[in-house]
Amino acid sequence: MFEQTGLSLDGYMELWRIIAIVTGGTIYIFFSYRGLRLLKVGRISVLFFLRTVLLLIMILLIGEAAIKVQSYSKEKAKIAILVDSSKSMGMRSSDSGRTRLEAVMDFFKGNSEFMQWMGNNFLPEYYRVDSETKELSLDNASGIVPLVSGTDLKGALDYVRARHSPEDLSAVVLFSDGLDTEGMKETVSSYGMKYGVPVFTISPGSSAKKDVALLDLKSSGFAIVGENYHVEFDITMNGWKTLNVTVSLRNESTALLTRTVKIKDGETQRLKFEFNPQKGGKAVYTIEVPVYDGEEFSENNRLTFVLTSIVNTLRVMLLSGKPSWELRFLREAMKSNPWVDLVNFNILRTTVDFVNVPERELSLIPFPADEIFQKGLDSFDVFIILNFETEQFVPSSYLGKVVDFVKNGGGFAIIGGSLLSRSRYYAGTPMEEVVPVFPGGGDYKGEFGIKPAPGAFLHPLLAPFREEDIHLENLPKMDFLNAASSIKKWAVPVIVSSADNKPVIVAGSYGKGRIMTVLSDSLWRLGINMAADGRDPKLFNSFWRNALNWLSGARGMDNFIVEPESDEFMPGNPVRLRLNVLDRLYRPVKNGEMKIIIKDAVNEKIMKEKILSVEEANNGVIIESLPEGTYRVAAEIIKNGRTEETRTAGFIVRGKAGEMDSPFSDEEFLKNLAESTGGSFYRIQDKINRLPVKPGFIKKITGEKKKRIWNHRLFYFSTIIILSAEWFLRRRWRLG
Amino acid sequence: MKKKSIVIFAVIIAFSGAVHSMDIISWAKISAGGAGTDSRDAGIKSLIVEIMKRTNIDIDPEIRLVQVNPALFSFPFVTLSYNSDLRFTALEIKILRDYLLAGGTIFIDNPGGVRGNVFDLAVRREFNKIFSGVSFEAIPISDVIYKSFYLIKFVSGRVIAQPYLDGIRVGGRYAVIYSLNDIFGACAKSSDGGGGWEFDVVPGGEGQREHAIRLAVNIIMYVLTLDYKEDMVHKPFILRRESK
Repeated sequence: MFEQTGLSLDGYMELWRIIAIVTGGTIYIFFSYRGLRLLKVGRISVLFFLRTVLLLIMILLIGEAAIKVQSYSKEKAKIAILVDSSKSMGMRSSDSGRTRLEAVMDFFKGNSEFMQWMGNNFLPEYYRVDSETKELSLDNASGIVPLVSGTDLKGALDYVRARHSPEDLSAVVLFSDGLDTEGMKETVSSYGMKYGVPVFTISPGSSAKKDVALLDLKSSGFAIVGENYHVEFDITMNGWKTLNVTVSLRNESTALLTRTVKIKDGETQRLKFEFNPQKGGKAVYTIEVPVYDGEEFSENNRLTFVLTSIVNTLRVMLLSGKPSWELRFLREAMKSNPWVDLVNFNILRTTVDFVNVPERELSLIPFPADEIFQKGLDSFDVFIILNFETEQFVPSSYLGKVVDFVKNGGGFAIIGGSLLSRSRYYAGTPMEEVVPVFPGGGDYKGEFGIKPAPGAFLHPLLAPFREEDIHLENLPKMDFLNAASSIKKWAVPVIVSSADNKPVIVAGSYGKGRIMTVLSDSLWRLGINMAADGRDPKLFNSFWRNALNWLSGARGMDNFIVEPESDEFMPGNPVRLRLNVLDRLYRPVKNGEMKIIIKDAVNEKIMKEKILSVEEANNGVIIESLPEGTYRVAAEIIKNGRTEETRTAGFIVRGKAGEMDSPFSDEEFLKNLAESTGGSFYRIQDKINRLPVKPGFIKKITGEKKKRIWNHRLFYFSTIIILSAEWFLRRRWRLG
Repeated sequence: MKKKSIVIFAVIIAFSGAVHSMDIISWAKISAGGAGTDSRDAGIKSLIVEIMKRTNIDIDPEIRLVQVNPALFSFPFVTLSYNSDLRFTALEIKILRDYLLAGGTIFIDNPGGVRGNVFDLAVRREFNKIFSGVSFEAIPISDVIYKSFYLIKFVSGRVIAQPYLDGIRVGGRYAVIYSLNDIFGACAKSSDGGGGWEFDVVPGGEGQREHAIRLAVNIIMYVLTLDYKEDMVHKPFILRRESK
């Protein structure tokens, strides 16, 4: 036990009193000096001294001065031991076979001299650090499993310092591989200089001798279909003198690019891969290098990213059997749509037409059936045939390409007219398969009104008809209707004739594609004829703008959607999937069963399977505990034990970038941190018996006594004596 | 009185003509501002036959007369050919403006074949009212109108009053096309049933007549396909043929 004595001013010493006393005292001393300046220096000093003493006595009096005696004990200062327990600390050393965390635990167990030094001189506090910082009992430390992907070293250091005053904390000891995931590396020196407590960093060492790593991927995440997109990344190699590394890019199982790079030991090269997404939507891409002989760590041999490809320009192929108003207005609708890249071929004359001039005086070109059907069709998003009779111009065998086009996800529109009827809706050709109606009955050649088909009002094709200024009861009349005897089961009527509900527009999905048939060539009246009574003639154009989106399978226009809530999920967090199952008329489906299958996108291994009702699925699906990886979810609608429709989507489960990028500890970072705070850097295998930090102590007050002096008689007696002496001397030295 | 009854008859035809059959194009003439009764029906009828003979376009041989009222909007293409003065009412001007902005096209053929005649002055004055401040511009010979079917290098008609077509552009296309050269007159077959032509064509004779028919075919093809022949896929063919 120790004691310390001091003066205490316990009176009413508010700030204003102190200021008043100090100001008054200063003025008093200043003027008293001016009054004394004619005297000799010795006399001035005596009087000045007496007056200053009087001023001090006044302060002590007002401050109710007392003598304070405190008793206290001395305690050891604290030392904070931070143990990195993030996922990277689970990497094993190729030499010892131990994980980095096990090496730290062995240090605590085996280095008794260090532990004794620490115990003798400090009060140690232990913390575990990953993405969060928590207190740790050394007894339980060996049970830590390094699973968390994320290391926030700055957060840990801030946390520890905030819990102690600077005198209280003598040092911080950090056991870590330095693989911080929160971007501390860039600011470590400036941060360390301001930290105020020395940090001693101890590296558990590296886990491999040979490694090829792909790092630091830069991808904007958004691409435009058909346009070049590039990603950049680093490739780094350690352990071989030189190595020819094959780097490949693939979209799920489809290889897109391969490049061989010659790289030297310790070298890092920045690589750029450029490719051209061909389809809209989200897809998971992987860049990878093989695992080379002697490479013990393969988690950094792969980079994955999700790319959302936007259809910026819809490529539309339009074939028209003859010039017509439908063609004229359809062309204008497409040409006025900045998102449409239209390729159009029209039959302007047939073999029976007599042009009266040599070919060279005509602007006509031969119909390029080969180019369209054999080579080019797949490069289009939507294929439209308008009142087109294929027989004269396209070999029947070519028409199978249209079926393939639709099955592979293309949009196909058939617009009516006399030639469609004459061709009997392509009956007897391979294209018959993708025509949503059966021919039959006679065409109707008179005026008729149109209206949404019963129950079809929510169909996306009718979105423009749902606008407020479109009065459905007052739409322009059509004037020709191709007859259809019935509709195929995979299609539904969307617009029908007002009087007798005959199908006018029929739509449906087939394979991965969508098909629409307009059984009239007078839809153009929804444009110019609307203007007859002062309405905006936009309906025809907006119908087609919207129809092209639907036909091309634009995002959000499908009646069965499965999509992860995020492109990436953290390991340990649930993967949430959004599902929306609508019927063919886009009304919510309540009945039925759905199967959710999660597969590893690399090796196709089924990771999870779940069967639930469609109604449950529409509320969202949660998949628990998927390890890090690239996944593909398939949602299947099951009817009568058979899979009726399937939709798929990709997602990634991965921890924070940087956590598992390298098998090597970032010792440079650890050194910078230690040196900038005034600490030192060590490797765990170094013989560390003690750290160069002086033992510190903290005073802990255990008791206090006070003896008042301001009200003591002697105090007042002394005041009178000093006042009297001052008065006496002034009189004697003939001052006023 | 006679004129009034003809107009009433024309209105009846126009409304009944709103019903077309399939992909057959209806030919309609404007009856407005006093125009419509004495235009070149014979020339139009011959032209329809020529167009159907030479191209894949089907046109109803019946020529409809349409007034400038809401019925006009059922005919995306109308012609105007008259030999006298022409004055549109304020309502007709508004309807014509709405019609042209909504996608309609008017082809005007001056049967007088003289620049500055009464009809020419009337057309320029009245269409200046429709699009105030916008007047006719010469359609350059490089325009797609001259390539829409035939590759045409010069403008023709019954006469050559002007070596180019005039036009008013609306939304990237010529919504009004005006010929001073009496194209319909060049196409008109004589009414005596002998198969001859009604008018002589000067100064170029029968070659000029053929070119007038080709120009008329191109105009109709342009109205139905717009700038189709400007599409990239056609350009190399057209350039190759034009260079020969």
